[in-house]
Amino acid sequence: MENLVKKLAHRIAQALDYDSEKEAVVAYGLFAMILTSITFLLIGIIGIIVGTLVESLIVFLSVSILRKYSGGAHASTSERCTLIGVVFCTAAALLSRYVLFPIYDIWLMLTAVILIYLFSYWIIYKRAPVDSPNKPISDKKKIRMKKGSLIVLSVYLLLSIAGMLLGHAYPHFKAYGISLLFGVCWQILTLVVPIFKLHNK
Amino acid sequence: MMTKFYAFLAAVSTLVATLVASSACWTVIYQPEEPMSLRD
Repeated sequence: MENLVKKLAHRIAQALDYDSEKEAVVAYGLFAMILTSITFLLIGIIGIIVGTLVESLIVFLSVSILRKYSGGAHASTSERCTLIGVVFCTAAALLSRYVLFPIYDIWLMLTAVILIYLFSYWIIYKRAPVDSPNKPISDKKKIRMKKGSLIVLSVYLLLSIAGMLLGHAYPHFKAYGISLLFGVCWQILTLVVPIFKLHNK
Repeated sequence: MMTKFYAFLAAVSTLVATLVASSACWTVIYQPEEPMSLRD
């Protein structure tokens, strides 16, 4: 995929008489758009097929937004990234809707929320943002990203609490709350690199 | 016609690249090398 994007960027650069740096920027942006769109579409389509569209999108968006600030481990290729993303989001959504939602217990959920968010705050405080050799982050930016990560996590905590409170009147919010927790868990665990087999590139 | 399309695509891509550069990493779990002009 990356090679195809580079070829397209090269064609654009030739047509517009761009230098190599501008071409690299165009390729970077194109690749970001295409990869994110493909992943989002696949997750959406599979979500519609298995009947967990909302849960899948909640997992995807919760990971994506937090990841924007906290960084994390990366896959070694874009294809692997898409595969892992689609598989995880779909699996988490299926577990949320068809396994955990039917056995939902408010006290278990409250315990899970407390434990997961305590751990998450600790990991973000200690490790976020996690950069990579392909995208190093300056010290000044790290402070801003850490603050952003903590704010996003706090918003997620409020949403989790809202999901628990609204779950009584609107049962589907229970599954949405579980999906959100899956998203938080996944993203936090990518900050703890040794746990994963993903290559930190 | 194609030149206009390429110009549009280049503009959108550059905007996306700039937006993505302001974050810690991409929103998906893949991170290609960031161009030097976008780095801090």
